[in-house]
Amino acid sequence: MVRGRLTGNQCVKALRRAVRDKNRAEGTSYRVVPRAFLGHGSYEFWSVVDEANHDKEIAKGKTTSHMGEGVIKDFEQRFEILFGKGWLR
Amino acid sequence: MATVRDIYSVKLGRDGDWWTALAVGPRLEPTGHAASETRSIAALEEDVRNTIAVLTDRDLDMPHEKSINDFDIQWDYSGLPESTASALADYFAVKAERNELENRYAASVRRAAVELTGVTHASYRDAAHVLGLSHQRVSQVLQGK
Repeated sequence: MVRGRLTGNQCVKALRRAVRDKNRAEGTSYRVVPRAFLGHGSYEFWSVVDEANHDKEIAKGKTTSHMGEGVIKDFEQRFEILFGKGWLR
Repeated sequence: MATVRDIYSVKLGRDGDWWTALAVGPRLEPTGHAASETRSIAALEEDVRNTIAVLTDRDLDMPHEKSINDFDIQWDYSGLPESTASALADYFAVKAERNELENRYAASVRRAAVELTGVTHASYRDAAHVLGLSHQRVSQVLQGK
């Protein structure tokens, strides 16, 4: 997929897919949840939590309606701790 | 003792019709930064503040309104075209000098008015004549207005 052309939905779908693959491969019990947030804006926050550890948050990132280069890069890098470099591409 | 507030440097940029912001500062691990974007510059600061509050988990520790004002932001315009960044740098430098001069001017006017009317017993009208102000203004200055 071409960088800078991903929508927010595509990024979240990719995140869910990466989590599913990791759970299958490594036996982890992670899942993607929307991060509750009281503010308002054209963006959403997403967390990966560990069900085996009382839904402890492992990492989180943000999607927007525009998903410009900077936001995509930040989203990708924030989950590299789980999936390694370049997981979103 | 005064609390030391975290400071985030936020670089403003342009991406098509969107304004972008890249914040760098404490507690933004693992990337060390946070990205935001809005259609207008005016809306960008709130967006940046919300993003920093959530990504640093401040919103879990305090009410939302407090969490987005729990830190300071310093805008960095170096991401704009060089001529724009340079013009803004000049503007803010001159603005800071003007503020400094305005503060010095206010203090010096008051000091001169106090000296003229208090030490030499000049009338308000005479003090106004010397200072090039109206006597009403001299009166205001002496009242600390």
